[in-house]
Amino acid sequence: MPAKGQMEELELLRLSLAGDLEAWGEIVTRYKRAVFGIALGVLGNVADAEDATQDAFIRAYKNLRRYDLTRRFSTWIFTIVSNICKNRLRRARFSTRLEDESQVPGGADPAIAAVEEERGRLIKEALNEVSPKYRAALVLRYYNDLDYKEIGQILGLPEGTVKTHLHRGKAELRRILEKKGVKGYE
Amino acid sequence: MNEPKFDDYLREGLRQGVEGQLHHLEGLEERVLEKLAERALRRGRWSKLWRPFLIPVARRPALALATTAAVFLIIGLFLGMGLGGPSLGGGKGVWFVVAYPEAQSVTVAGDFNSWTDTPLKRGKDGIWTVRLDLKPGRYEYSFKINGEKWVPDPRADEYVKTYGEQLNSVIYV
Repeated sequence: MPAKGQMEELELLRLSLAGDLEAWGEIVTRYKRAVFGIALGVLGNVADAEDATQDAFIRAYKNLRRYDLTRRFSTWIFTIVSNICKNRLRRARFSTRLEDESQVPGGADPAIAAVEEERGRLIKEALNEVSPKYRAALVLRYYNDLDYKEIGQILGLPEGTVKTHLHRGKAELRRILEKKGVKGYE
Repeated sequence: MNEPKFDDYLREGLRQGVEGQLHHLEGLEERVLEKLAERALRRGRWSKLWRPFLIPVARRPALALATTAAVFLIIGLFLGMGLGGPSLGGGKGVWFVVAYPEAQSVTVAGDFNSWTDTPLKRGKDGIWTVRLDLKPGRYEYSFKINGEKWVPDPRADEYVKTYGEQLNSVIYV
């Protein structure tokens, strides 16, 4: 039997369904960055995003028997984390708390690293000011690289509405970034 | 404004924003598995109350087998007492049952056999069973499938974590 790290996703899911927690651990490893990216983009707060990511994997495991194996697992887990984030935002009444940044060092050149980190920080701060209903679509499109159809499946929206959310979300984001003095996008 | 340029800026900014925080995900797997194991532990305690009423159809042959064995055990004890003979080893007959239709072999290893392999016998529908005489106590154990893969017993009383985040099953006799 191959090691868990080399196993096909379907086999890992089948083992997870049979109660093999180690297989589920491998699924968490494979998807945690993507799931965390969505949570961080939508919630804008590291502690909340971390919590939502953990919650998403626990909920997914509990509901694994309801997962349709013919669907893409990524779509399913992204739907779960998006719903968790949506509920959290609703509970927090769209609070836009900004967390204390504790960045890790970037590339080899400190000057380039500083510019790159600055861009990441600016985008994250600006995203926090975008209307919450547009954030998820922006993150799924520009962080997770998903197409309109899949974004629609995850957010439960028609493709046309996804396009509208992206268009309006980007317009808001541009305005916010311009207010912060970002113009060239280089 | 240049649309593709803005898209690239946004894409790169989001990537950097997330990557700068990835260190927060260290140990996420352990935290998730720990929560799930705690849940299994809680469920294990509750299921003790429900288990007699929740035997799935697939396990009914094993249940019938266990019931028959229990009847013989009671008769044996009764006769033993009546004749003043020895007890049945001082232990209690405990059935280990697991459904694994695809397996070529299933063994059980635990505190009760010094973690050596005791084979289970394959029955109809891929139900594997073995009966062991165990003295009262708490035992950790695990099933081994095809001589290589350790799996916990879904019917265990509780679970404990062991090396490499594996779960051992626990039974109270």
